[in-house]
Parts: sequence; C-alpha cells; structure tokens
Amino acid sequence: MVSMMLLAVFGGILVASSQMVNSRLGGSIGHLKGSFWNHWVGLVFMAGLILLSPMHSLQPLTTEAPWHGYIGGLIGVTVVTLSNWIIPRLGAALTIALSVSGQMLTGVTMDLITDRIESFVLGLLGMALITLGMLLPKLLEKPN
Amino acid sequence: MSSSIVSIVALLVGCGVAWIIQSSAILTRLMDSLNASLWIHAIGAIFASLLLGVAYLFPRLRSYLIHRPQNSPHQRAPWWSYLGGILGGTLVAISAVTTTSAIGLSGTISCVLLGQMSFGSCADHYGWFGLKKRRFTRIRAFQLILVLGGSWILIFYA
Repeated sequence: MVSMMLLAVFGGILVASSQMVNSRLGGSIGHLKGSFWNHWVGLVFMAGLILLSPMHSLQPLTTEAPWHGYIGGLIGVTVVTLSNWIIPRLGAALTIALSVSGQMLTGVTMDLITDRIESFVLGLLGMALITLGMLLPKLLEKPN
Repeated sequence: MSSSIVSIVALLVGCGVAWIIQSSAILTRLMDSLNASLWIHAIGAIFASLLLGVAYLFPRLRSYLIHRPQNSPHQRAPWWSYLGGILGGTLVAISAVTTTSAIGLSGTISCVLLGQMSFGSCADHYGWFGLKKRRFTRIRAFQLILVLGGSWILIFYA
C-alpha cells in the first residue's frame, strides 16, 4: 500500500518534470515544435514499452469508441503547447496549481451534469477550497 | 501579456487535461491503458505534424508557431530536453500498476497530484530545468494545501 503510494507520488514527479523539460525545449525551438517532439518521443517510447513487456501486446485502434475517445491526442498537442508557453511566465508551481484546479473543477462539473456526484455539499466544499487556493496569490501578494 | 490572461489560459489547460483523461478512459474500455496512451500519442503526433506542415506553408503562421520565442533566455536546446515524452510515458506505465493495486484510481490521482505540485514548487524554488528562481513563500504553501485539500475532497468524497 505505502509502496504503491510512493510509486504514484514518483509518477507525479515525472509529470511535473515532463512539463518543465518540455517547456525548456519549447523555449529553445518553439512551443509547437516542443509539443511535436513530446508526442513523437512519447509514441516511440510507449510502442517500445508495449513490445518489450511480456504482459502487453499492441492492440489495434478500433472504430467502436465514440468520437470523443479519439480527440484526446488533439487536445494533448494543444495542452502541451500552451503549458510550454505558460511555465516560463507563471513558474512551474503556479502553472501546475492552476491547471490542476481547472482539471478538478471540470471533472466535478462533468459529474454534476451527468448526476454522478455522491455528495453535493462536499463537492461544493472541494470546489470552494480550490477556488480560494487559486485566487490566494492575487488576494494576498503585494502587486509589484 | 497580463498575468491574469496567462492564468486563465492555465485554467483552460486543466479543462483540456480533464478531457484527455475522459477520452483515455473511453479507450481503456476497449484496450489496456498502455495501448490507449499509445493511440492518444499517435493521434497527437500526427496532429502536431500536420500543424507544423500547415505552419510551414503559411509564413504568417510560421512566425507564431515555429520561431524560437524571442524573449527566451535559452539559445540551444540541451539533449535531455527532448526526453519529456519518455517521462510522461513512464507515468502511464506506473499508473497502470498503481490503479490496479489497493490504492486504486482515486489513490493514484491523489498521490500523483501531491508529487506533481510539490516537485513543481521545488523546481521553482531552486531554479531547476532552466527555470527562473521563484521563492517558495508562505502564500505558495497555503495555495498548495488548499488546492491539494480541495482536490482530495473531490476525489474521495464527492
């Protein structure tokens, strides 16, 4: 249990590193090109991982999934390009805090719309804490 | 550009991440999570190539999308900066293991957020990865606790 938690925390360190490393690349060669390399290198790496793993094998892309199953890659390119551009401007911590906030608020909104939320009150409490956290630097930091 | 606009774009990036998670969940019903990530990367790689191709055809777009950022302090890209995709891919492999373990999907997301947010703060504080140094102030610590706490409430109880 604890080892799995530590492994997942390490996974989070990898995500943050990936974002910062890619932003460093984008700063030198252009942010869209940075996103281009991120996706091609990631693709080759995933393919290698699947081919080398005894538990996995390459599975074809089927047409059974609804259309929004396929647009993740399109959004991914946009998200990486934008995050490359944002990180030097806001710093990694604020960029991550804001994007995590956007991610969680979108997720809970989706749950509210599809009526999958378990506790409305706790949903609101979570949203309120995140929103307060987002706005905190604006509320407390002296403008320079 | 004003930092408020950049902040709003950062929030929108998060909406995008929620959509990506949603589409990978849909694909994971048809294949394993590694293959789902492989296909999301493949579609992204083709899309990025198309965008670059279009940008090369139109000079005005080229200056927006391809040229090196003017205000960047970094001239040359170091070799390791090309490896970001590998780090992202490793997370997919790790979460394939942890989501099927006792901590499950909720536990995995909570721990990933913890690692991601605290490591981002460290990198800012010490100026790693060529970042400008930004001190980890008390306000930043409170922000981290509020966003993380709110996320955990949403993940586990809502």
